[in-house]
Amino acid sequence: MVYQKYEVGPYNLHIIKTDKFKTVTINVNFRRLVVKEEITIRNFLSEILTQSSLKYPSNRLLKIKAQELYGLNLSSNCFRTGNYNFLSFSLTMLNEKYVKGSLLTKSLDFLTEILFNPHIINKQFDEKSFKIIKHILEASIKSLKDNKDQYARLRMLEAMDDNSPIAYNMRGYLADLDKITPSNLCSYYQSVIKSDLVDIFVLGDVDIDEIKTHVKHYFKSINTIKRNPGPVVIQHQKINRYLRTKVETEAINQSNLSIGCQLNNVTKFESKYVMPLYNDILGGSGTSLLFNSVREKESLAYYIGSRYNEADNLLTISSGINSDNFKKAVKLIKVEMDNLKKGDFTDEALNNTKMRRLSALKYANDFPSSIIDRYFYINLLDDDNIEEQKKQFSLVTKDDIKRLSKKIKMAQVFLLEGRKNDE
Amino acid sequence: MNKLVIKGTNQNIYYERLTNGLEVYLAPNEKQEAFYVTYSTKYGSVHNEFVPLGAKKYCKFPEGIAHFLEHKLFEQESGLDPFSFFAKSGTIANANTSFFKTSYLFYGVNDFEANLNYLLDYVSKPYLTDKNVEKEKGIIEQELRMYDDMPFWVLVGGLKKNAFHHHPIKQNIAGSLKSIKAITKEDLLTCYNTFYHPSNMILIITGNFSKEKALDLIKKKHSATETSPLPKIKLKKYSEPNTVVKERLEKQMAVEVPKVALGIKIPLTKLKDFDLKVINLYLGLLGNILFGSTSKFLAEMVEKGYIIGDLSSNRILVDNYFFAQIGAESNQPSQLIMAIKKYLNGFKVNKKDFERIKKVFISSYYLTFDDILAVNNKLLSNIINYNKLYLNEIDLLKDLNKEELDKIIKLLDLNQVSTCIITPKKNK
Repeated sequence: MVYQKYEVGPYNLHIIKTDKFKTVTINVNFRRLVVKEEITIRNFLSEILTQSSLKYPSNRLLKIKAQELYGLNLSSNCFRTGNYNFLSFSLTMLNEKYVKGSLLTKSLDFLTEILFNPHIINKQFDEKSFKIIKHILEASIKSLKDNKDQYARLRMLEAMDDNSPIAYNMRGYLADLDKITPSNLCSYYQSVIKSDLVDIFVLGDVDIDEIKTHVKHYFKSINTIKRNPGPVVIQHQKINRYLRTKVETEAINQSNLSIGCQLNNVTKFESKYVMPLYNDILGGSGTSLLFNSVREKESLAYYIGSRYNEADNLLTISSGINSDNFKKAVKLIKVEMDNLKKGDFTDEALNNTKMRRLSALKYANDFPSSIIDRYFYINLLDDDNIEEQKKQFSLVTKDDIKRLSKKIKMAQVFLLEGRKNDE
Repeated sequence: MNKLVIKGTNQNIYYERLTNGLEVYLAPNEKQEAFYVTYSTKYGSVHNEFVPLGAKKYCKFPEGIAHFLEHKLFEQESGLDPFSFFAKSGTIANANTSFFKTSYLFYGVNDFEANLNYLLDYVSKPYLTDKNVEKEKGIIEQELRMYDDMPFWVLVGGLKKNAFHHHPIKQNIAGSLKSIKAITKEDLLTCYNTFYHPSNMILIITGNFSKEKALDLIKKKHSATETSPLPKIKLKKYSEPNTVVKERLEKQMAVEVPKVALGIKIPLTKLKDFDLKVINLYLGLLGNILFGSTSKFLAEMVEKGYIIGDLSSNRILVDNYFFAQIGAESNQPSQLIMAIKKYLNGFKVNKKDFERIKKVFISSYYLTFDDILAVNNKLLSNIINYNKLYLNEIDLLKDLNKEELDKIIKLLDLNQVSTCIITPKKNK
C-alpha cells in the first residue's frame, strides 16, 4: 500500500494505491466550521446534489446512469467532527480492469456532473427535486424521536451545554428547514464550492500519475486557495461543577439512560492513546467493567456501553433499563468509574484492550472505507502513523489510566423514562 | 479434503464431512489480514416443536428458547467466559440467532488456532444452573423491550404474525416477556442435546489462515469426542394455508413519522419446475425492478408524496413460501398500500430495465469476494436455505433472462398480502 498526498492549493489530493480490492473508492470532502443555523441547509444541499443534476434531471435517470456504470455507488452525507461540518461524497466503482471500456473516466464524469453541474436553472434549484428533498429532510428531522437511544443522547447533550457544537442536532431543525428556498440554496451551494476546504481521496489499484492528471482536469472548478478555518478539537466552555440530572417521560417500553462526561486538559498522548484504552476497559466491549457489572452481575440491561469522541473531548455512556433501576444503574456506573480512578482493575484488562487496539489497526486494512478513514484522521486530528500508534499504545500504563481518569468529569445524566416495570 | 472452486472467482473452498457428521468449509483468502469463523447449528427460532433426542413424542418448547440458549452458552463452568478468552488476543466474538440457525463466531488477526480450539470447546460445554438461567431473564427482558421500541422491528413482527396461521416464523426470534419466563434449565438442556450435535452443525472459515492447520485441529478436537452422526431430527411440519390471517393491522407507537409495510405470501406450488435458488434470484431482480431506485413506480409515489425517500424490499424462504416484504415511511400509508396492491396486479417488466439490473447483480456478485464476512455469510445462507453451495452461482446469474422471468411472473400468486401501519400515538 502506497500513500501519497498532494497539497494543490484549492484542494488536497490523497492517493492510496493498493491491489487488495476489485473496486476503486473516491471520497470528496468539503469542510468548514460548523454553524448551527447552517446544518439544515447543508443537509439539504447534500441530498439535492445526489437527487438530480442538469444532465440527469430526475433521481430515476441519475440512478439509471449509476447502474449502467456497473452499479456504481454514490452517496453523500454531512457529519460533524469537533468544530467542523463535513459534506462528504463517496463513490465506489468496479476497477476498470474487470470490464471493457474506460470506466474510470466515465465514473469521474458522473461524479463531477453531480458536484459541479447541479440542477440549477436561473440561480434556483429545480422545484420538483426541492420539494422531494424537503419532505425527506422533514421526516428525517422528526424521526430522530423514533430512535430512542439517539434521541436520549441528544437530549442529554443539550442539557449538558446547548451552546456547544456537541449538542447540535446533525439531522437539522424544522425552523431552519422552513427558511430554505430554491434560490438561497443555490447561493449556499456557490459559497461551498468557493470557500470550503476540499480533500479528495482515491483508493484502489490505480496509476498514481493517471489519477493526478484526471483530478487536475475534472476538479478544475475548485480553484480558490483556502486556509484552515480553525481548530477542530472542542474545548468545553461550560464546565458543570455538579452532576446534573434530567428526566423526561414517554410512552415507551424501555427507559433510555444517557450520561455525558467532560474531559479537560488532556494531553495529546492521553487523548490519542490512554483515553481509547480507558473507554475500552470501562464500557467498550463484552469484557468491560460496565458490561460485567450492570448486565452480567445485576441483570439490569441488555446493552450498556461507553463511547469516546476525541474531537469532542467527550465520553458518553448509554443503556436501556427499567425505570425502577435508574438510581441503581447510575450508582453502579459511578462505582466502576471510581474503580478506574483508584486503579482497581486488572493488568489483564489493560493488556486485552491493547491487543484489541493493535488488532483493529491491522484488520482496518481489509476495508477501503477504514483505510481512507485512517488517512483522513492522520490529516485532520494529527494522528500518528500506524507504526507509531502501535508503539504508543503499548507504552500506556496503569498509572496513565489513573491519572487520566481524574480529568474525566461526569457532568450530565439524562433518562428518557418509559413505562414502569409491568408488561 | 475436497477442493471446490467457486466459478468465475479465485476463491477455493476445501470441504470435508467428519465421521461424526460435522460439515467443515474452509475458504482461505491470503489477501486479507483477518480471519472469520462461524460455527452454526441448524437450529433457530422456528424449531420449537420436535422429538427430543432419546424421546419418542413431539414436544413443544417456549418461544425464544433457541435465542435464550445462545445467550447461555456464554456462561462457562470454569468462570472464564468466551468474551474474556477471545479478548486476550484482541479477537472479537459474538453470536446470533435467526429463524433457521444459531451461529457462534469470532473475527480477528491473532492466535487463530487457540481461538478456533476454544470456539469448538465452549460451544460443546453448556453450563446451566437454575440461578444463571433466572439471571438471564432480566437481560433478555431488556433486549425484548428495546426491540419493542424499534418501529421497523415492530412492523416486520406484525407482518409475519398476520401472514402466517401456524408456522412459527410468526413468532419473534427472542420470544415474548411471557414465554421467556417459562424457560427452564431442563428445557434448555433438552434443546441443546438435540440440536448441538456435530451432525447438525456447520463450521465455516474465511479469510487469512492455514487450511491444513485448521483441519488438523478440527479433526483432533472432534476425534476426542468421537460419536457417530445422529439420525435425522424429527421436526414438526406445519401445513400452512395460502391465505393470510389478517389483511391489515394498525398500531400506534411513540413515533413521529408513520411507517408502513406489506408482506406478500407467495406459494411455491406452481413453481415446482424451477430451482429454489433461481426463483430467489428472479424474485430479487423483480423486487429491484419494481421497487428499487430506478423504478418508475417509486418515482411516481415519491412525487405524489406517498413515500418519503425509498422503498425497501427483501424476502425470506419459509418452507413452501417466499415471504416478500416491502417497507417505507409514508404520510399517506393507506393510499400507498392501495397503490402497491394495484401495481402488483398489473406491472410489466421491460427488457432494458431487466438487462441493466442483471448487470448490477453480476458486478456485485464479484465484489462479494473482497469481503470475508460476506463470503462466509453467503456460504452459510446457501447451506441453510438450499442445503447446497451453488458454486456455479455466476452461471445462474448470467443465465437469467427476461423470457424466463415472464414465465415465472405468470405463475406467481401475489394476492395474499398482509399490511401493517404504525402511526404516531396521539397525546392525551
